[in-house]
Amino acid sequence: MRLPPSYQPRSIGRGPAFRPPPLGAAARAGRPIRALGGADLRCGPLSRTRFAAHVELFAHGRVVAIPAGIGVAPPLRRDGARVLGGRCSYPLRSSEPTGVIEVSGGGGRPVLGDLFAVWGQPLSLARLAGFAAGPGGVRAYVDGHRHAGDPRRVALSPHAQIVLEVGGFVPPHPVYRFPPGR
Amino acid sequence: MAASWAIRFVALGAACAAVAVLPASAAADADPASDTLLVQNVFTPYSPQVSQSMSKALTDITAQAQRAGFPIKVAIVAGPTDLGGVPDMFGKPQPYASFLASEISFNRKQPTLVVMPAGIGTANIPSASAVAGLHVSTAGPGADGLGQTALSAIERLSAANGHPVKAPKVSSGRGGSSGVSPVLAFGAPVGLIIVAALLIGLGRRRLPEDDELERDETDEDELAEQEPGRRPEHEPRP
Repeated sequence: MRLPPSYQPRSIGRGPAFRPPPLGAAARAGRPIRALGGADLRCGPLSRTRFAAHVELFAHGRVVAIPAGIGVAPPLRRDGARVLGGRCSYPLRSSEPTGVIEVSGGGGRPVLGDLFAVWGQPLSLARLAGFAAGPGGVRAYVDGHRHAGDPRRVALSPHAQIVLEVGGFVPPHPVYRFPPGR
Repeated sequence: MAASWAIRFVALGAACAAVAVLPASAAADADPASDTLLVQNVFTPYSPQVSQSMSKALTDITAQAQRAGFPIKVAIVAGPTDLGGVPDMFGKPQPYASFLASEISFNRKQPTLVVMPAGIGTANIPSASAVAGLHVSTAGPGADGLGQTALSAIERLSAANGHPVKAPKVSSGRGGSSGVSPVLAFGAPVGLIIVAALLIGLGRRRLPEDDELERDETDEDELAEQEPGRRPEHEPRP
């Protein structure tokens, strides 16, 4: 049996930094959140998903979980691992704990910095959520290719496969098969 | 001095060669099941989906198994889409079961069952031979055949490991959790169609021939024109 060499399992790291909560204070309160481009991301009625992108995070060779419920203000309605809705939703959200990020709302060019702002987690060249990057900085990959520069500027484009890493190198997956309709 | 440089050069070359032939290690967590199974016991496919009643049955039997001392994680994979970033695992239930179990095992090894149309895979389950030869059903609706196979596999595995559990009954049809009998659900519409057809047949026998009917309608229209107060029979009533 021949599989791509990158098909080796990695589990989630131990400790709370590897399992960040889905909401920061602003999103929990449903307050407007300033996007990187300067516009306000507002929490409103759940609107149709325009497209989806997939994001994976690794710190020191371990998975950092991306929870369901990013961008959905409580109280949340759940069905098992899925978040079906809440008081209001931001244009960037996760309904499953799979790293699939749903983008809704009209127009606009959302970037990773916007997602992390809604999530309430830090992202810069020096920091990835709860992890300091060290001298190598935060590495970003889009569809398997290295993205140089500020990781906050990485575009969340339709069906993009985005990997962010700190610490030891993890060969990034180049593609992701999205669920139908996303 | 020259010999020293030569040794360093050879050593560097050997190191580069070693790096080149090593497989690119790593990369995972791209499969949705591994993320979902950290939160719940069952991952069901995106498309085709299992019915609500099947989903509930799978959730119930895994909870029952856990209470009986046989915790188990179940992934039902109907297509490559269910595998996210590792689609090449489709059709390889046993390798994927091992892969998945490695991702979701933390403090202890996690018993894992994978059901794909191509077969069944297990990891960290003693007496896994209990599912050898178990037929994988791909019958509908949706992926319910795969779900039914998972239920049967859990029954066999739990019994083989001394913690027998019984699969809940699953009502057929998508979203079949309403408890409506399949005979009623499918028989009633068919019955209505037959009754309607019979009534139409009877009605047609009583009605005049088509050309007579046409003539009758024309007569009504003509009468309406002649008598402004008269409304043709086929006009809707106010």
